[in-house]
Amino acid sequence: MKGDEQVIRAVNAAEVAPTTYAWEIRAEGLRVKAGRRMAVDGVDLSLGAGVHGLLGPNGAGKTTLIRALATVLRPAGGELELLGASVGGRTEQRRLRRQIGYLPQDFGFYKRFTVREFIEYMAWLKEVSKKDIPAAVQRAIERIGLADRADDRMKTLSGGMIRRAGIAQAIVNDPRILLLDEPAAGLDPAQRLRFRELLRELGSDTCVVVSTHLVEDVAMACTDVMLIDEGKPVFRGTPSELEAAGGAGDAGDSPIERGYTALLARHQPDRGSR
Amino acid sequence: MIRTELRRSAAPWAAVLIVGIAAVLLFAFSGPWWKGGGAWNREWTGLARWERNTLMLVWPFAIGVGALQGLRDHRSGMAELLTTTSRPRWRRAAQTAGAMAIAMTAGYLVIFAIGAVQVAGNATYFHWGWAPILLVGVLSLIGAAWLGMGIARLAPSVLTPPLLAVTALAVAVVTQVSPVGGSLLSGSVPDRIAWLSPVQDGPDDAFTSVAGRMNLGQGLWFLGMAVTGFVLLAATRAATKLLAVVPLLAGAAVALPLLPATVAQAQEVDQGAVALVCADGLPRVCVTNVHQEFLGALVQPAREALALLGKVPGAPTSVEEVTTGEPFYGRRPVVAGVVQIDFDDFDLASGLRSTTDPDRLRRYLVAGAGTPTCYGRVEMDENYERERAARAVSAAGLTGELRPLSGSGSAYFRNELETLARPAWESFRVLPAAEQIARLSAMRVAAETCRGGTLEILTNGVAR
Amino acid sequence: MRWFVLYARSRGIPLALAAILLSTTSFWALAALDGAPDPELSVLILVAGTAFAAAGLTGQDIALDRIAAIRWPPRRAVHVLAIAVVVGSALLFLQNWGDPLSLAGVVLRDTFGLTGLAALGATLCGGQYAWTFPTGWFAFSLGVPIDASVLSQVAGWLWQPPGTPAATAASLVLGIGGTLAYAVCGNRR
Repeated sequence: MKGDEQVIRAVNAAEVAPTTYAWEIRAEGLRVKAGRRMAVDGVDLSLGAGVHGLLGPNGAGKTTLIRALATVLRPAGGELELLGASVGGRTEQRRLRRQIGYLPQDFGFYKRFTVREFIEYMAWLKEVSKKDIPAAVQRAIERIGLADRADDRMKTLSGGMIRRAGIAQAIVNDPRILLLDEPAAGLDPAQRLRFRELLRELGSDTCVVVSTHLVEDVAMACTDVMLIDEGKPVFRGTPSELEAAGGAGDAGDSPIERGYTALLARHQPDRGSR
Repeated sequence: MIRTELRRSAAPWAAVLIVGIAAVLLFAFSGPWWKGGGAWNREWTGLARWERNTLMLVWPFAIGVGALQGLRDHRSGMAELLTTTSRPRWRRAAQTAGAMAIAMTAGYLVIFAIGAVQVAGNATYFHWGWAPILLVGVLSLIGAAWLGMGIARLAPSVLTPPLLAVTALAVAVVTQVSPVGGSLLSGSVPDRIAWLSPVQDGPDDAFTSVAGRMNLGQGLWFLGMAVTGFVLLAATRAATKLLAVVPLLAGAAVALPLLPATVAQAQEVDQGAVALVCADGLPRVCVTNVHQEFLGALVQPAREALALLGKVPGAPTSVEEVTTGEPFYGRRPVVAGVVQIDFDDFDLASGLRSTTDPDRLRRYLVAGAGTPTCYGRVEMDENYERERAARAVSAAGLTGELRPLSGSGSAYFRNELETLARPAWESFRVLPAAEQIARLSAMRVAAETCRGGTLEILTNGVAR
Repeated sequence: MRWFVLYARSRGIPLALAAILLSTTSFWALAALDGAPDPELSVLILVAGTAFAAAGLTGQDIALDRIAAIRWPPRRAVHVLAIAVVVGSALLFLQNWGDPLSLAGVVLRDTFGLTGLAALGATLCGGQYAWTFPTGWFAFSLGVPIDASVLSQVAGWLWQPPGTPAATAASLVLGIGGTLAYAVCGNRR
């Protein structure tokens, strides 16, 4: 598995320097507005290296939370620290954004660019140094398995391939924080298996936050899970703890689905099934 | 990185279409840019100015393409992803804007190169005066494209490109300045404002160039436009976007006082072009620098013509080319003692070209006993035809036989000869020599002062 | 009626109508400054109108339009002709100089041809780029010299006096051809 990837790259001093922060992402009482609603209401996070799943019903505020972590939205209240630095201020943002990778839910792209050109462009935008760009792009393309379509235009790709190209642009700058919003949408089962492997590999040294509806991916690949509902945190723990929360009486076709419904029901008992 | 933009954005389309449209316009249609000394493929300055004239079509197109390019981020839905990247917005904007600028410049230069190949074959006089004209043209395209990109970023609607293109077209139409001065919408747009459009009429002759202050003023205006467009493209805060209009206003404020107030001030005489080049020996035969390749062919017939003209008292003693274009009405001031020649005159051109009729050039020079026509470029009425007949008869009187002044192949020229000139010649020919000389002399006096009635003097001895 | 309103909103017609109205009145005001009618600005009003309306010839989602059960060709043809009627009557309504009857002939010819061009542009390139066709031909014809050659008459068909056969033929070909092409093919982009 790891053996196919032989590309070696030089690390620079910044990467081997000891970190000055305890958690890559730290939030206390985070509140974020989406439009006029307070979509994220009082979320506390301490996320380090690993794959952190984000689950919740539709409209729970998952996407808003991810966007706040990606520095797209400004928090309306509470504290947010990324890589030890408080979010806000121009130069701080630039330094942060060099080390963040983000895949939005509505992933837009330049249709006329080829895959390689698009990822190169995103690498340049994230200030990967010019001489490293071709190698980094090639590595990213091979990791997500688009090497044979790398020189085709984006508009000729299928939906799943476009999603994979989006993941590639998120990882091309070897970010410390990787934020993926519905990354497995449109991937076929074999691709999803490869993607889970990739997630595990990335999670060994990166803080990955994956927001998804596919609970199986969460069960297999994530080191811990957060469940939020209506902007408020409901559960924080490992996938096995999530499975343990459910019982035979809860709706669901797999242990983790039953745990999910059980926790939601406990959180909002008067809501009924959603 | 800019190579990707050059390949994948709207830039290459822009360049190809600029070249295509301008080339079709210049090649396919026989407009004023094919005619005369000011033709687009004759002289360098003429080429530059006629290329500016094609901006009538290309400039609104440039702003429309810029707007289409500026919509790209909005249409592709990439806006959110782009805000999470670290490179500052102006760097990103510089890539796209730079690619567009390269494409515009390349397209414009290609057209110039196509014309330059022809001019290099035709022209012998070279002067750098065309360079500022070309530069202002390039600046106007870049300014328009960047402004289009900036405005489309501000207002990313599908209606923005057509709105901008149509507005630019309206500006180009409204600011057309007619050659006799004043805009086509007579009086409603002062000339100074009209020069804010990059479209320029081509020259009528090879001797004038664009005044320096006009190039400078227009250059500064388009520079301001380009800066405004770029700031709009690169601005992240609302305050900066508001401030973006400042370069545009500053450009206008600086340019308007600089720009000439009238059409006459906008042109200047190209001193290098009108300098006279003369053949060795006497009598003097001189042409301007622009046409010096014709001097060799002109010398012998010119001196023979002067010898023939010597039969009539008070004859001119030299042959010189005129240094201004032919006016629309009336004629240029006459210089005493000089036969003026105009290389735009079709009779002279016909004489220079003719291989079957070597005396035609000499006939042209002695016509009217060495005086030029009294009528301007657009005066082609009955008086003009009678004067032409008189010129033919006077040429016949000096050379001994009646031949048409221009090619006898055309029915028009044969006709004009037969109806008016032939009867006059018949009656003139039988007169005694002294009477002929007297009438020619009287005719010349009348022609010099443009009193009219030259044909009557030749036939009846007295003016009407 | 409801169908018509929804269709109009999906094609961005209210915004296009507002743009047409705004441009027509401002160009006409500009021309009225001068007193005497300026043919170039009048035709420019027609060009602007067709250019703005052309964007609405493409819907939001081509695939959704294609799977519709209704018969598109007659509706598309009506859309194109409606553009011609609206734009042409906007100009005629605002003009109050010259001989209305002879002017109407020129306006009719020019409008029909320009609308056909816009429809052709929508068929070939999609609604976003359709405006380039009428605008481009107009700008091109500004530079074409007025002489008697057939090429000039066809290229400059917008400017020819009423009754010029070459110009009328050009307008008919463009108008009918464009309408048919759009009605039959829709837009593939």
